[in-house]
Amino acid sequence: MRFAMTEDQQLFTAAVRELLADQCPPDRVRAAWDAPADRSLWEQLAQMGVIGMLAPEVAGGMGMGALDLHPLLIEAGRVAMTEPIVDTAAVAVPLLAVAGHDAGARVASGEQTVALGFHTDPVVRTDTDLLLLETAEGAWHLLTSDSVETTVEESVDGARRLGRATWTPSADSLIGTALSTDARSRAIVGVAAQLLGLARHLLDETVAYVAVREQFGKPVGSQQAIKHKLADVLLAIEFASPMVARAAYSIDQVDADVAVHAAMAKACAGDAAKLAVRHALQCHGAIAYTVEYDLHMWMKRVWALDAQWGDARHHRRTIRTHLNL
Amino acid sequence: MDLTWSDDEERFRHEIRSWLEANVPAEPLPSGDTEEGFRRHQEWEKVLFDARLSVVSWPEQYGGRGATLWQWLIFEEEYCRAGAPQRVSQNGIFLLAPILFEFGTDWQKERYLLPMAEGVEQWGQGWSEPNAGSDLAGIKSKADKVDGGWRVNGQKTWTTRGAFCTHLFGLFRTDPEQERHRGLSYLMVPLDAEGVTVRGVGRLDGDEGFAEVFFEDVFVPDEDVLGEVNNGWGVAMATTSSERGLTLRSPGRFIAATERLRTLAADQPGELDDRVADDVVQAWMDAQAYQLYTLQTVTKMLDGGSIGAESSLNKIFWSDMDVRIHETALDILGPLAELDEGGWMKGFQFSLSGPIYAGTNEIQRNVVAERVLGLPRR
Ligand SMILES: Cc1cc2nc3c(=O)[nH]c(=O)nc-3n(C[C@H](O)[C@H](O)[C@H](O)COP(=O)(O)OP(=O)(O)OC[C@H]3O[C@@H](n4cnc5c(N)ncnc54)[C@H](O)[C@@H]3O)c2cc1C
Repeated sequence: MRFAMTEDQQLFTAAVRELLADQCPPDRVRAAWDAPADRSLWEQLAQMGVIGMLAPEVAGGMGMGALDLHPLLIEAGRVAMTEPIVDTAAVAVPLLAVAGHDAGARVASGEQTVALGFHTDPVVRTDTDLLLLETAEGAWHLLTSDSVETTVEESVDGARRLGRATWTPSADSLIGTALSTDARSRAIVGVAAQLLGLARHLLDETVAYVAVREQFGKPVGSQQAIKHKLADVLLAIEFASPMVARAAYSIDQVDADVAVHAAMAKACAGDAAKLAVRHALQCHGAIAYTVEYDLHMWMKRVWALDAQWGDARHHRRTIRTHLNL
Repeated sequence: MDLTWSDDEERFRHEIRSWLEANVPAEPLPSGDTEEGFRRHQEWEKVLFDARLSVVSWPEQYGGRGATLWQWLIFEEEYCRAGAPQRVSQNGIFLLAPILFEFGTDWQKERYLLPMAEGVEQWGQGWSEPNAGSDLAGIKSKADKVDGGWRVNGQKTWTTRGAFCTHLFGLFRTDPEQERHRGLSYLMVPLDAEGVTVRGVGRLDGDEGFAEVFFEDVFVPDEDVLGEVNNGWGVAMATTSSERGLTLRSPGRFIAATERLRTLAADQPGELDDRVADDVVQAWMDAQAYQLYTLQTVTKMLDGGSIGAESSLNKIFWSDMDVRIHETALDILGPLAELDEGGWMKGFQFSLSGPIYAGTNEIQRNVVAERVLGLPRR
């Protein structure tokens, strides 16, 4: 029994965190609201091995697992990175590897990006090269984005470019059929990790702000009402984090209960992130209620991702079934 | 990361499980917070001791098995799963013993640990006083230096099971010149000493689980000072994190409670209300989260790390969770809750004390905000 990341995992995470702090500042997130992000960050991440991490070594990857990747997704969440890292690195790379599809190498190397579309999703990302789409029957198809017709939809999070896709599956586009369970677990654990990172950032920013913002002659952060709210946010994050790590571990171990573990991870991380949003906004006051202040981009990302691939209530229903209730 | 148990650990689990299956009383014992129940629980402690199961993590010479932290967790999980009796010895074995191991003299260890493990000597925690609750440094009970020892005067209160205990450990002011955290010492006092009066107090849940303890010129010999004179605060604080952290409420307790809750919900005739079902699920998830968090904490400790202020997070989590588990059970029971069906109402009342004892949750949130998040004290 051992519940901890290895030193190597920690070192790699620190390196990615450094890169992201440098290359994905809030201005980059803000810029993504106006125009799709350029490929520079994606290329650097690919060069570091992050994008292809889950591809087998023979396919140019690192042959690593979801557990190795999840702290990096937390970091991606922390900086509110817009690029499709969960869709591509956490889901498409391992799926294409399993399917033995030749696009796998191009995706793992960072050359092509992928957006994911479960058959239950009303919308998909439209800012990628490829779309990996599920039919209602659970078959998976890989299509180029320009071969799919999409009508643009606007997200509350302006950095997320979304649309409704109209497409027809064909024998040519089919990559596999028995992939849905794995894809779903990988996707929701990936988003759960991002949500943890977003929540951490919201908490850190708020702690920093309330320590310096003064009213009544002292920092507002010295007021107990503020302290207790932020303590509750930390509590939610700290207890959600091991759930996400365990779910990632279960993916790698092909645990029989992986779907339950993934559902728990997403539910807890989503709830923690929503609490972080509420309290971050409240503890900042009006300054955070403006689009000129950066925090709104993190808040909106949380709202978008919390609902993506099932919100907390949805996932608790999965667990309800598991508990025979 | 490796979330599997070794063969040794699995064997250990198996041994514990089989023993509990054969030995746990079929009929639940009366509450250990009543006189009769306490006696029965004390007998049970002896049964555990004879099987070397009362203090598995202690060294063998004191009645333990030198179990690892992992084995301790397994023991707790199996113990709660089997619905085995409440541990009336817990304040001694979980709160005092760690201090004895860390600060005790050889004489103190030889004198006190074995009878504690056996359950024949039972310890109460004497920290709180009428005017020293959350603000523990406001302690007024004092011990004046006399030849060969100390003369103790004052009052302790809310001493759990104090009316049935044989001994008390606690903080007393030994240097009247010093204030607050300074000038306190950790003393061990037999409750049958001359000048000690114990008055049982009924708790919210109806049991006589509380006591007030009065000291009038009680003589305590020097050898019963635990740790350095006037360093009682340091000694006390060295163990609060284990009280809030690991030992007081192991995950097994909540895994078992949520399993009971799940069964209660599943056994209801008819369709379960969606909101109630959601609450059951949430409670079950919380217990899982608490278990994983504990695995993480134990790993950290085994790597040589210490749990400091983070133990406050732990305490808030389990105590709030425990209340929610019981509230959900009452929701399910509806009008039967009042009749204490399944003991849930009584359990609910006890769960409400969790956010109060071992440092209130308001105090814990202050600690988290100031010492973990680093927010300004004032
Ligand atoms: C079931 C049970 C068993 C117990 N067993 C023992 C025992 O065996 N031995 C022992 O010594 N004690 C025991 N206690 C006592 C327990 O430690 C105290 O109740 C606890 O420390 C709180 O003190 P208090 O009750 O005096 O409340 P107070 O300190 O008077 O607090 C009252 C309220 O004010 C709040 N408050 C106080 N200060 C602050 C602050 N700075 N910021 C925000 N809020 C604040 C508290 O959180 C609480 O809500 C037990 C208590 C219970 C309920």
